[in-house]
Amino acid sequence: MARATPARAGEIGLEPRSAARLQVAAGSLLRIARAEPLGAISAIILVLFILAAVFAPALAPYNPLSNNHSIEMQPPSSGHLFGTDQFGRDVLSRILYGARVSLEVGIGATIAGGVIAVIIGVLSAYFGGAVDYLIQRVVDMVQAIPSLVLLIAILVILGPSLPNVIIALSVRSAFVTSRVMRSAALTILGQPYVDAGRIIGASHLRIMSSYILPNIMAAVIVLGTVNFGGAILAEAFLAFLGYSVPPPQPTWGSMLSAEGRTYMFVGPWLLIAPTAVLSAVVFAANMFGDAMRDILDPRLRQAGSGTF
Amino acid sequence: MIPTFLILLLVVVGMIRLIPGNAVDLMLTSQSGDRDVSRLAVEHRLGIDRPVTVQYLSYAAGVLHGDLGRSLWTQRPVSEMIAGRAPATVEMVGLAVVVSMLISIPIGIISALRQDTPMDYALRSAVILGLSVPSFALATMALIFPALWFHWTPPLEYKPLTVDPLSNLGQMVLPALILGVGLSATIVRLMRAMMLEVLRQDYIRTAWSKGLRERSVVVEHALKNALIPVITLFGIQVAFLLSGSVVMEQIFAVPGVGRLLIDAISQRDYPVVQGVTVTVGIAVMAINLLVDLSYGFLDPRIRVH
Repeated sequence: MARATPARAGEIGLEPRSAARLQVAAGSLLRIARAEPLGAISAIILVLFILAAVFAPALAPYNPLSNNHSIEMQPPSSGHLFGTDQFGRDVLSRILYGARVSLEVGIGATIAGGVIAVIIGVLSAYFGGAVDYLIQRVVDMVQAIPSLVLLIAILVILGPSLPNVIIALSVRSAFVTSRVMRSAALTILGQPYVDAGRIIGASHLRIMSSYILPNIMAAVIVLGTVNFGGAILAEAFLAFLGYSVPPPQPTWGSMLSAEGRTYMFVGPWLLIAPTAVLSAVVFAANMFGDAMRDILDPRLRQAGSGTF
Repeated sequence: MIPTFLILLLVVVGMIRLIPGNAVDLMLTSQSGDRDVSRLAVEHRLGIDRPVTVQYLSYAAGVLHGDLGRSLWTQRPVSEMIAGRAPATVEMVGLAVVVSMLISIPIGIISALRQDTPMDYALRSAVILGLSVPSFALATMALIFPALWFHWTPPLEYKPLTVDPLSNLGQMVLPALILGVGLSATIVRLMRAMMLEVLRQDYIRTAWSKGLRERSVVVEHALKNALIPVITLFGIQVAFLLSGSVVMEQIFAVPGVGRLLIDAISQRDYPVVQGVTVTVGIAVMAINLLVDLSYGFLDPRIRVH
């Protein structure tokens, strides 16, 4: 069991077993990183993104909402690393605070969507028959409506705000992702150990939670990471059509679509900065999802590029 | 397919009832006259003063006859409006599909054959990058840079293909490219995965041992089998394409169905919204049906059905 030598453990002040575990973990992480270099780079980008979003208030040099008419439309300089926009607001600070919105949207939509997708998919697979048929027809229908249309329809009904954007994105991704969850659950239900569980009298809930759920985690993780990127991208599209979080709150999507496009000839930095960060994060999320899939289960081919 | 369609109709009819009441007022603000009378009139025209079941049945009956109601603003039949806009969208989407096939199948194959080499990584990265950049950002840049460097902008006035093919294609080439690239990411991934799996099969090994050239092995033996799930993917991606076309139509001024829908939503022109949603839903389901039927054609083992 003890892989670390006692002398080493003593040096860093850890007990032998924790030090051993750390070494094993570090070793395997390095091995994984070498096997999936793109995934490793993507993971770093995502971590940076999360840190930037979480620590935005501490990192942002200026208030993202304060107008300053004396310094409107300034190109990047030492005082304003990404320049200023048409109201004199610092673009870097707006990007950092915009990261928060993207992170909230991404995490909210992914978790809510993932939970609902698992529930729908597993229930559909487990109970089969008429329940399955009906649920799958509803999923068909949701999938047939172009995602942007569905999102806009939901937001028209609920009104544009951050929580509603998250709700709309979750609904869309949940239904479409549930398909994959269902087929994964069906595969597991065909295994003998599920029958064994039934024979010993396991309840429906127990079979679903202890037998099916742990075994579909791979699919959940892979699709979750890809949906994360998709949600951030979808927010940008909603902002373009005017259905995202209303101004003056900075979101990458609205920075791109409003200031970015309007002033792109006179102030290209207004377009380039949000486009670059948004694309980088979405790209990293997709690549990370790819890497996760390669590691966890190369057979998860239906996962595709996300649900948007 | 039919049950899905019925559920779709149900949602579409029910959608109107969910719209907050002040949306009807929104429509009324541009009309003159007594507000209460107008409100009743509008509700009557929308048909929401009848019980839900009646609304649903009458709409369903109408759809079967090709009657999708009339626009609240222009009074034109919705089916006529859609028919007028459809060719532009169909053409753009069709070109996008062609573009993506031309890009993604070769890339998927090369990626599979040179698995885990830098070429593989580079190709996959490039394709996913195409997917990660929002298409309207790409489109904006695609409009700006040719204008700056070559003094060229795509024509912004729509001319049907039969009337002026050059202008038509000039308008369509950029949106088709951008949409096609977005579509490619999924297909490349799938193509690569399928090729990897197929290439490991025994019959491929036999072909190699027979001394056949790489091209022969790939194209004649592996490709056909790898293509089947790719075709499925097209069915699924049609909805994605229509989504993307909404944005492209907006930027490149293509008078298509997507723009019709978005304009109708912002104007609260419910019959048009309903009509377009139903039409699009039918189209997607029809395409998926065709895809299912094509399996029997491509893979003789599946013909049992």
